[in-house]
Amino acid sequence: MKLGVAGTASRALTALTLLFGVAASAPAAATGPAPLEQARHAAEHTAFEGVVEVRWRDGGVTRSERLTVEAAEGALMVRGDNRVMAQPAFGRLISHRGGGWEELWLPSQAPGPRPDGASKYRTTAPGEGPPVAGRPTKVVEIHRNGALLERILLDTQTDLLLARDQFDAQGAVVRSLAFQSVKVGSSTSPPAEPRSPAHHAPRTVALARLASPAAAPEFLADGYQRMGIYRTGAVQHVLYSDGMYDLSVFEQQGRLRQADVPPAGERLVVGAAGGWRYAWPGGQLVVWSTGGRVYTAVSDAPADQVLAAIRSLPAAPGRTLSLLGKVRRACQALMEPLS
Amino acid sequence: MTNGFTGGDRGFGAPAHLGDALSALLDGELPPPVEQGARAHLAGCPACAGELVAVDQARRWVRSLPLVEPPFGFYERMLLDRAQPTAAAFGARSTLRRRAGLAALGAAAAAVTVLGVGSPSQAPVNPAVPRLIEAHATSASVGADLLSKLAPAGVPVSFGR
Repeated sequence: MKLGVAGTASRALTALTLLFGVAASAPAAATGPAPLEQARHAAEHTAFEGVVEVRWRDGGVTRSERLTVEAAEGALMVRGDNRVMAQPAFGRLISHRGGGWEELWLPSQAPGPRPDGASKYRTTAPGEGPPVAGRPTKVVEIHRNGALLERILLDTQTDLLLARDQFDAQGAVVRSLAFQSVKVGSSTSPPAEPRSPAHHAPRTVALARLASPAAAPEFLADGYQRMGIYRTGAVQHVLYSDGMYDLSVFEQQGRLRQADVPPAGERLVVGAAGGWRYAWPGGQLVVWSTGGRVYTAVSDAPADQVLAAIRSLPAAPGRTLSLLGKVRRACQALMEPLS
Repeated sequence: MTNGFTGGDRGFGAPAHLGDALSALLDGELPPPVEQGARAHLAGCPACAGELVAVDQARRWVRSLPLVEPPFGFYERMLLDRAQPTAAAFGARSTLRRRAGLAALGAAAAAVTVLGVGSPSQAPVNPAVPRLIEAHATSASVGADLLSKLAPAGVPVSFGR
């Protein structure tokens, strides 16, 4: 059948639309941060050893540290000034500057399920990446609202994470981790489990046992979902995740004295309270005080996400009186009926 | 330009002063914009500047006091005294003494209550930041990529303290 001019134009337009539509969406798969899941699986099932460099931006300064890592049979050992050990089934231990081992997480403590992050992040399909420590890689990028957040280089052969860069809103690298040398499939034996570590793991707390369950909401802004509530001594710890990044909110009774806060922090506002932000090798830390409580948020998420999440915490009760105010109020209350 | 302070607890018609905010300022509990306003006010208000010094001094004195445990039965005796009706036969002088005694007891009870019970919730807290970071890294590494979540904990944290 012979087509008319209008019909031909219409079909051509449809074909072009389909062509460009497919071409535009081809490089990106609409999935969550699956590469990190692959990396997790690889780190737990691959024997490797090597040297990793951690770099992070601290204000106007870029800092870096080199760490030795070795893994086998699901166990991982990180050796720096601190030694950190992950045992299979969630056991986590740490040793400070050659001291004894402390158990910080029990194998029996499994947080709730981690959200998949699929609706929040867009992950590009793997492409060929630059070699890292002499090994070929595949590169994936993680985007949010069109902005590049992370570039991840996975070992082509094993999916082991060989390098990871986190970017700020201006596209500059704020944090990175990269192998300087690595030997995959080595005959490394798993790190021996310490015989009698000091037990400093937190205990899991049920939401119903909290004095104020509203203080640990199930969701925070920007898709952060509560994964667990823990307590160590007087410190309450609520762990949140969006599937890619994690956020810990620690709460203690008391007040924060400006004199006790390290001077290097960046001032910011959290709710109605003033706070301070610091960079640590793994991300951000924010400390603030309100309503007779001191909060410390620790996260590997970008700064804007951390702030959005902690600013969505429910407002603490109004500022409790300072010591002098308490004295004044208590005296007034007791004296009033006598006068 | 307003500095955010609208009278504190001073008398009617008096110029705006900081009042109770002085104590919060010393505790570092004011939000940054309010703190900025308070400091601007202090720079131009000798009365508030003087009161700030006095409040700071008073706080130091109060905090230097030792904690006192009330003697056994202190509260019970005080409550019993309060529960007994004041007899009309008591003379004015006796009533005054009684009131003064009760006032002293009340003030002592208030001080004991505040210093012994009330202050812990407002005690200064210096968060053990390195430990909190380790707690975060270890808990967040569960079910996640071990290397990127756990490796940073191998670097001791210092913020230049």
